[in-house]
Amino acid sequence: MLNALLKQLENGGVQSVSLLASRLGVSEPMLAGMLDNLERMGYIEKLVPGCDNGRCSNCYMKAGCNNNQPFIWKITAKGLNCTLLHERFPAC
Amino acid sequence: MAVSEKTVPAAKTFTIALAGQPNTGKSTVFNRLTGSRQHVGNWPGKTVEQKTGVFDIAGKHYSLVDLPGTYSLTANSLEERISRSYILDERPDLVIAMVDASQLERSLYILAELVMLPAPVIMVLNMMDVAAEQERRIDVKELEQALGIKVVPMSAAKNQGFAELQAAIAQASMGELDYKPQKPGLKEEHTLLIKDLQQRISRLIPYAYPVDWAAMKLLEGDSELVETLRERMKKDEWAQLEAILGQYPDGALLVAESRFNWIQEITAQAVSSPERRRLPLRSRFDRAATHPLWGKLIALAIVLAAIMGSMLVGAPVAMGIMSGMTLLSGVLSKAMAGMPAWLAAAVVNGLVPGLSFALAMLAFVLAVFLVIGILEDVGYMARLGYITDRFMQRIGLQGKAFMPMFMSFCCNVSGIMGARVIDSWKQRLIVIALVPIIPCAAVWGVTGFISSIFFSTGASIIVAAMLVAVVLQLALSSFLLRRFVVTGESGGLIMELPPYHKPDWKNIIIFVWLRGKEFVKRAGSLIVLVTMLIWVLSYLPYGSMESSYLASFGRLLEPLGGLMGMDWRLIICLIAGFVSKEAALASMAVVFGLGEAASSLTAVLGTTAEQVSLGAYLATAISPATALAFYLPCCFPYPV
Repeated sequence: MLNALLKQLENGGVQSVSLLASRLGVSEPMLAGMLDNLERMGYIEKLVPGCDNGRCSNCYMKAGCNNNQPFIWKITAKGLNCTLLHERFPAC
Repeated sequence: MAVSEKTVPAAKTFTIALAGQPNTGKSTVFNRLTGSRQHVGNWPGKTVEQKTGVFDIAGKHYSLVDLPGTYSLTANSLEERISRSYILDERPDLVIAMVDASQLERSLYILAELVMLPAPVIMVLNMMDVAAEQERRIDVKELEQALGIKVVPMSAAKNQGFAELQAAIAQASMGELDYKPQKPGLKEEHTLLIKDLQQRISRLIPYAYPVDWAAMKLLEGDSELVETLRERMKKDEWAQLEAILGQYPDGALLVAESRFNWIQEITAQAVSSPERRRLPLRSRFDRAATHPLWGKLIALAIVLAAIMGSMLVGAPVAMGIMSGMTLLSGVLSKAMAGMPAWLAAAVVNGLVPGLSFALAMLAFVLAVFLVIGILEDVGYMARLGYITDRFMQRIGLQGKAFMPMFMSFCCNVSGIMGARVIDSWKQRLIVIALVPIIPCAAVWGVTGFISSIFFSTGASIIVAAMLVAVVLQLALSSFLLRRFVVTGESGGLIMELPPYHKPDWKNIIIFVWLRGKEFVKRAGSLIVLVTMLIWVLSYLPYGSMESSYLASFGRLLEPLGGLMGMDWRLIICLIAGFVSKEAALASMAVVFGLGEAASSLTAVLGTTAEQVSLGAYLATAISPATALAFYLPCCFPYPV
């Protein structure tokens, strides 16, 4: 289940939580829990869209860049490594 | 972990620990049960807050300890260590596991760990009202049967379910609670591994630790347990154990997988979500809005409507501002009649026209922010970014490259800044090349303003047509980039799209107000600076625009401008736009204001359709707007 999720991330593209949940055959709250766990274990990381606080501090448009940004996760090197391991050793 | 005398309940008091993930309503239940009989301090030796309290049910005394909210019980954080140490070392008589019914599968994860520990557990299924609103049906009896523990449904915010909880607590204190928990376990192929681990550690783990739980924790790489065993084991024993664990570098993933399988089994029969045909209108719309084809069509329609809407709001306000500033210009001109000529010219021909344009643009910027504010507030803006991914994939950009493109809808500068997160330099370069094509809020404002000068109420159609041209430019760029630049993949992304909801007008107005204030503060000072610089260059050395330094420089570049239907004056404005889009507008006001005697808006910019041939008119009228829409954004991020 978690490996399948990592595999989906490895395949590339942007997927919404609802689409991914339906692909994996789990509910959205379940997928949210899986994402929580993978993030805590370091297999995925949360990205924060928005301005660079240091460099954008003088930009008058910066206030419009950090509003209601969605949560975005990406696979980490550890996660990629795990999906590779999984191909060779399904029980990794 | 040691617990101070103050926090340890009296020997015969029935002690309850309140556990659960954050935001599951733990505090509400704690406050409701204990009322004012609480004590707030710190966990001994820690800086984490500890809340304890007492309450009575039918004359019997109970003590309640609020454990820190945690997502799991692995020793990764201080809170997790405190929670699990309390349950293992202090052995409360009962653990109440708080679970969010609206996020059931997510918040059951901690229960999968709690049922492995020695203290009996009852589960409080809070936020049943929210789950009902989501049309998620939870069969409590079925859940109880699947879990093998008592489940108490509750809507704490509505004060429902507390009597049932008190009854369950009383039952537990009398030893009448039926407690046969179903525990999560690893897949069959790992049974031998777990048994082997149990044998190796059973004599060495702390007395309070259940051996099956400890074996799972070891496989997870629990730092506290690993350290304890390393200290207690002989060197060769430890080396053997380490070698076994080394074969499972992703042991934590195996254990987590087993818990999610357990959750899946537990909830399979007990939870049902609304059928697809019965999905609420919002969900059905979202399916369409995120569909590869319909999503794009919906996005196009919404963006076009948004542009037209912002033009309709911005244009009349801008015209009003321009009329007001024209009057002010006349008044100042008379009032400064006795002052030095250069000073009067600086104010009347430089400062006032520049500020007029800046304020008029503000009307458009605010209108654009209003539209963005509404789209963000209802939850659509993130979808707009999401559906652009298919396009990104077509040009070979994936994963992180999506983020800067998404951010560019608000500001190209932040989009270019955001490109730094992309690992591949080729992809980074392509993103930086493509970001300026995406129209940011300022571009909408500037192009809207210029178009409205020439096309009045038809401006929205012109801006919409420019958007179509932008899309075509993106398609052309994609073709060229695919043909000449080969890029590698960089992994995918998952987006948690915010839910749709009705617009909160108060929030939107605050959003627009804050951004408007910021615009006036930052852009205002920049515009004044650029305006005055342009004016000085156009005034020196002889006080005449035609023989000024600015004119000499502009004429040098005129052949280039001719290709776009622009004379030297417009080329100067375009160059000023490298600093920022609105600086181009301010320069336009100064350059044309000095060249033309009249101060009304149309006169300042020169021509009308009746005066010249249609072809020449369109070339001049559209060129500045399109040039501003397509050329580089504010240039300062490029060197970063």
